[in-house]
Amino acid sequence: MFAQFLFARFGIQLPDGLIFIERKKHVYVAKKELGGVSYPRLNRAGMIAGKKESIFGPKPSLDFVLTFGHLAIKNTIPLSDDEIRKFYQNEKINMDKEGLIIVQNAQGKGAALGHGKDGWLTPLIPKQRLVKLYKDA
Amino acid sequence: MPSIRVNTLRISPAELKSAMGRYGKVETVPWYPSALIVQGENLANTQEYQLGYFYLQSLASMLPVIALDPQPGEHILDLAAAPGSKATQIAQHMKNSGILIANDDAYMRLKPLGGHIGRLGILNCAVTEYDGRKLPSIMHFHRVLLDAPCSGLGSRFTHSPYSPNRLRQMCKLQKQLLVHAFDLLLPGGRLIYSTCTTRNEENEEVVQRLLDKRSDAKLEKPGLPVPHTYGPGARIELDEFFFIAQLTRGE
Repeated sequence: MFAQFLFARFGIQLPDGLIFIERKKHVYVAKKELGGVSYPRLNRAGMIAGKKESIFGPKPSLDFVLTFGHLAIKNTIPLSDDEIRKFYQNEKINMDKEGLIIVQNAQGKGAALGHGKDGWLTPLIPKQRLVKLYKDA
Repeated sequence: MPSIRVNTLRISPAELKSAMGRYGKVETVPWYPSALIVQGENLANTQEYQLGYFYLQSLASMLPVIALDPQPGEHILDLAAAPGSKATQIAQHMKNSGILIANDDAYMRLKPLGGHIGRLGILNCAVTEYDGRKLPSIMHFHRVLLDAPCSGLGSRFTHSPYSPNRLRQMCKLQKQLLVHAFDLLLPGGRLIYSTCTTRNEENEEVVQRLLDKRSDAKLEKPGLPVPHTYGPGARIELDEFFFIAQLTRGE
């Protein structure tokens, strides 16, 4: 289901040798070999690929976008390094696409996830991953 | 100046060196191409950190994994993995292939470990939650790292005032962990035991106890790229102190 969403929305197909592992709320992405790891007290295998449900429907994680965002072929936007820097400071970007959008850098690597609405792209970057600007007292 | 480990799963050392130049002077480390020394403060609050381009790590703490020498495709265990500096370094050496089991029994420390795994784009790591002495023998490993819980009397970060009783308990725990870590090795496998304490009781004595208990355990000199004293086990003074012992299991 999550794999279908990624393909439909972004055209992302997971490379060979990787699997999705569905848990209660999250979907994980991992090397196929981890599918056979059978410790009873397994905390996680691989990294969080996204949420099965959010206010936007299924949503890829920032880490998934950073790792696989280069595979997206639609609903993407290229941003310059300076624009990405501002995006990580929680600044909206003026653009006309709607819904979940993968931000790619100048080299085509995944850099962030945003949500487009009413001419603006809002950063969907977890609070603890935003870069804070400190001002002199 | 803080040292960082470049996450070569996401970026090359040369690219990151260039990017980090905006925060101040950046120096390379001749003995480890993945290490950089960066002039600057609060490096965790940078875009490059959030993009998973590096891990903040002391130079000395990079050495146990260098001695472990993880190879792509292997099965490797980090028995006391949280918060994840060495587990993520192992994954990087494995080029995100094979199987890495990162174990720790402290639930609260597993959360940051999971966070680092995601941020750095690690896909070959499973996290387990066991007292390291009780990790089931479901798998055996080509290499095992035991960066043991210790009194930290050598670390620039930890200066815990441990009571003599607490220190005795810690030595007992280290000995039990090391024996179990050894028992999880495949024949011919390599075990690295490391601490950031200078105390003999937590270092050489722990290693000697294993050698007394397991006749197929062999002590070897670790291949380290920095000056150190040896006898038995390596003692290294860099930006902090580390003790590293390398053991192999007979074929």
